[in-house]
Amino acid sequence: MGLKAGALLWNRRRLTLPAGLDTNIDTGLTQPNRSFESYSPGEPPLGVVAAAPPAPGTPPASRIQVVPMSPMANWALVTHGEPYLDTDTNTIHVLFTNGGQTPVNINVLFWDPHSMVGPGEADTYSPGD
Amino acid sequence: MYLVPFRDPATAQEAIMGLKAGALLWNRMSLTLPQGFTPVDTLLQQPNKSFPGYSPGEPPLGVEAAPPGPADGTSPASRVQVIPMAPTGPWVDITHGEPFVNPATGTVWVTFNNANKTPATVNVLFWDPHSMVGPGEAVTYHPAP
Repeated sequence: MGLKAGALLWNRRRLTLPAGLDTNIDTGLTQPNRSFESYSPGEPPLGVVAAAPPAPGTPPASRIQVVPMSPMANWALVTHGEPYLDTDTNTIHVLFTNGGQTPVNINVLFWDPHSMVGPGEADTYSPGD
Repeated sequence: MYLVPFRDPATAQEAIMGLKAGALLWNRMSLTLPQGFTPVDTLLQQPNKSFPGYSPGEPPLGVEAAPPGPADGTSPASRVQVIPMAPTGPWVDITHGEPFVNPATGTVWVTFNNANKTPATVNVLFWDPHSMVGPGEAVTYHPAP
């Protein structure tokens, strides 16, 4: 992580998720340019600012993309919550759940599609309560 | 901006494609993979060879190697993203190695392994997240050997 930690726009990770448990992952992503919002009004935020994972479906949706990568079979029983901006680390965290009975190793790409020329939109990853 | 000399419209597109080949930052491909290992040329390349100077510590395109590429988990990790796309069913038996730069072509290659006994057709997005403003990090797709 080193010098770039806290300024990443993408981070590809290889995660080991224990069976039947929630695992809170620090993606290392944050918003390098804090004036970004004024350049792109209406753009989804990095995520809600919270000290703990918000309930699934809590708006607004995060613009962080959680992209499953090969091997896809390992993703069969893995779900995750809405990315959020953790107040302790000032970086994006994602809560993963491995619903299987054995640990799994997954590859995942965390990507902030932040761009001066590419506004976007997002739904929450899960429906609200 | 590319300046393309005037030529017959029928060949102009080919000329434009020619200029882009080897300068791609992303390439979505439909691949039919026979059983076993198949090296694939993604056509991705680093357009600006001075890029590492602007983004010290950024993961490289990949280690230089001839196909089938380096052993799984060989570092440094490639910054090229290999993103499975729908339909995801055919991906169940597909794995791939770390993207690498083939010195024979100067482009990024990825070796896929189809563990099934029948060919599989998959859609895949190869993406180099190269950006002047967007540093990133990556670990190898597999643990170290």
